[in-house]
Amino acid sequence: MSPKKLDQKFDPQTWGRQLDAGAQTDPQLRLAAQLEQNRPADWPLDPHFRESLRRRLLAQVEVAPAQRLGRLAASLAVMLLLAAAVALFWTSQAATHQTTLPGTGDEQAQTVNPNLLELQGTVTQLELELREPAMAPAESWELRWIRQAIAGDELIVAATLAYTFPLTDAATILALVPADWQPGEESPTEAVAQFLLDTNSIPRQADEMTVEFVVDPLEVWEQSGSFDLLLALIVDRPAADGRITETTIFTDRPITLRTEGLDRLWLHSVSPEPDTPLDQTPFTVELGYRLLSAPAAEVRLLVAHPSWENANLGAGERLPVKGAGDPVSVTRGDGVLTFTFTTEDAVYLRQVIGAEATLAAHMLVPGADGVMQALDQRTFADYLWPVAAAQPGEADRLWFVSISPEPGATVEEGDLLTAVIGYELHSADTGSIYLALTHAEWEGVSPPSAPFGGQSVAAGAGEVELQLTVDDLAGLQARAGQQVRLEAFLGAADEHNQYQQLATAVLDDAPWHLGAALVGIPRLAPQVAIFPENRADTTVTRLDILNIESSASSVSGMTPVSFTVRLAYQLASHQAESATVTIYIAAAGTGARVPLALVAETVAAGRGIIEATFDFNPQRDLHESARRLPRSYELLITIDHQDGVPLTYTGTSPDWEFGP
Amino acid sequence: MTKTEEQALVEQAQRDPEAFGRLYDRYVAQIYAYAYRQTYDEALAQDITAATFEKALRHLSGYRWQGVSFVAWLYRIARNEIIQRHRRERFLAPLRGWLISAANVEKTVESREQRDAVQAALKQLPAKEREIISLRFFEELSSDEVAEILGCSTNNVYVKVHRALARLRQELETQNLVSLRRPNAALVERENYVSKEA
Repeated sequence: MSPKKLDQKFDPQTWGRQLDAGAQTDPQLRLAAQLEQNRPADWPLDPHFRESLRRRLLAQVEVAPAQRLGRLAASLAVMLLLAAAVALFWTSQAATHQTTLPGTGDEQAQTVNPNLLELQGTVTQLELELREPAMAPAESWELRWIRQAIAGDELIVAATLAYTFPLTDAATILALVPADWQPGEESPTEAVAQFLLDTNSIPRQADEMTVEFVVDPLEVWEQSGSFDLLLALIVDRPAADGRITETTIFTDRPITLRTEGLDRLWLHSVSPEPDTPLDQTPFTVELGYRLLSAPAAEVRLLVAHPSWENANLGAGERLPVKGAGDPVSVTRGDGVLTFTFTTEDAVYLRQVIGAEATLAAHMLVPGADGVMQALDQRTFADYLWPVAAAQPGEADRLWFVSISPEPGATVEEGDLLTAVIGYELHSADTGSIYLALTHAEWEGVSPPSAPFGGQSVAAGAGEVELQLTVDDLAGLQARAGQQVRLEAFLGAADEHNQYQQLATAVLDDAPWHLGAALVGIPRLAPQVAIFPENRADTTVTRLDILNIESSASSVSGMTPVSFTVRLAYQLASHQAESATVTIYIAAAGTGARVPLALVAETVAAGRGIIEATFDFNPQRDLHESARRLPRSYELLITIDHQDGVPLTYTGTSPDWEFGP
Repeated sequence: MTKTEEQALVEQAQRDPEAFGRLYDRYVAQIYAYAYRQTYDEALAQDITAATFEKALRHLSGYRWQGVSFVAWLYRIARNEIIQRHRRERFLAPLRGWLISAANVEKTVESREQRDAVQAALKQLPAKEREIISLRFFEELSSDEVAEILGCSTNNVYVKVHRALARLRQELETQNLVSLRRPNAALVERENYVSKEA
């Protein structure tokens, strides 16, 4: 039997054509066919939603161009950066190859304890199942040496054997990487090959036979820096009614061959010394490398968390600190690379990495499938630098770049304010920028009375365009003639998942004037702002209580009082074209809030204002038990789906005190 | 509808947005099904569907036919929308209690997937590999369309699909749910031999 190389590179184009043609010529294609035949059932689309959305979309065709532009800016899609995933897969099948004599390397002696296997199908299937020994294929076996060496771009694993076959003229010896062996196991119970490295033909007998297996280095040390090797034997010998093929794994456990040392990275020198606090510190790192297994590679230096020792530092898997992550090309041989960079921003480092940073490096080559594979990757966890970070938000900034219309103008309901906001976000991975119209005397209006329309931003610096429709703040109509200023807010969730304001910017030197009120309702005092912080709905897309104003904030004794509640709302649900808004007066602090008086109004999708006047006579309206003791009362606002879908929002006002 | 007819319809919709309704009718159920499979939440899937078509309508005038398909563009928008919502939810949750929590979504996904062996194996795969299997096989998209959605080359899609299938196959074998082994020919042969000997 001539020597054969069993590994063949995966050709994506050829395989892809087979996939698209529906071929089932390999296990992956067969699995693909199974998936296509067993795709999950579609979830039925609610016809009401379908029609409702259709109407809404076609109605938008009539929307004024300016408004369309406004929405455009608020809905820029966030691009996902797909980090490259390093994965291992090789197909293996027979292919002819010739070997060359290896060089010398580390030597490792192994004892021999043959186990008998039976082969499933042919050798190219690579699926071997261990069974009880039935007959020995050889009288004696001894594996004396395993050597590994680099020859050109190939790794040569050489096994030196002494053996005698009693029953056959020749055999085929296999080197394979077991798929299911766990370190510590005495012997593989099921030797399914992850992939076959190589095969060789050997004669009947040898006192000292060296068999070479030629391996693509990238196949075996892509992930771990070592690989496990099993040697197996196929004998094909005559039997009474023909021939019988038997397979034996004759290494009693996988032989772990270390590849560290063939390709290596190490810290040659570093400045500043470890334990020096990092705060925009210039860094000079001399990184030593030895590249043997490939003609060329890329070396990249990273700033890393100390516990990333075992993490996969594939290309793009970790965020390099700016300036340090630029790859440097190296060629086969030894050398020292010098990296000079600044940590730039300790806040950023602390956010991404943590309180202590160390250095990491990896040496990468493109794999067969184009994905970068690491020849060596190290986190130098013994070298630690504390990160002196500023307080969260300290380094975050926000500023106005441009604004339209020009400040000083009079704005009316429906006007669109467009602002380009510059930002620097360092203390969080992501944040959100909002706009609000504010006034020094307005309480509860900012920030932000209407958080919707905020723009998500990722850590870093940039500019975003935000728009604010004046009628987002319906309460403004009660403030005709007042001057308002534009304020921008940058916020993010902190480590306790609580919203934290990181930076603000105010454009208060050139205020706008609010135009005439829409409905001319005089200002009611005090304002009561209710924020949607206790909503628990899962069905409504957007349902905001924008503002609530009441003419009464307190009631003394049991005196009858008449007051008006103005409720600005926005209903934008894909499921509800209308809803019922109910305003109660309820006893607070009693557990179940008993409605004492109410007004219910059905509202259509969109924005609007509900105004309800209550003539509240505690003596008349309160239950006798409620009149006996002083008790707080509150406004309770609910919005129910028209079909009686569970409560979607409950907001309450500050308590009102009633007394006997 | 052939690609030529679809292209003509898209170009008509670019001049006359009323024609957008026909594109909507053709693809809304497909996009909704995709959104649902990604979220396992009916309301969220509806939101994503609505946002997808709203954005498509808004950007329709700028859409350029790339020879792939219009639906690939819709998928790309929907995919971005899903990603954006997951991100937005993560830090807006403190502001907006009404958003569905990631934990709930995950729980729903988990309970569904456990009903199905392939789904269970898929769950073990990295998200990116799950996604490409879903797009290529469950959404019944061509490799060219998947490449358009993911913004990569078709060859790259082949590589990713191949890798994801290999890993899925490994998962299925690990779970002992699907036997991908071939018949043990040598064993059969040997048993025959032994019985004859006896």
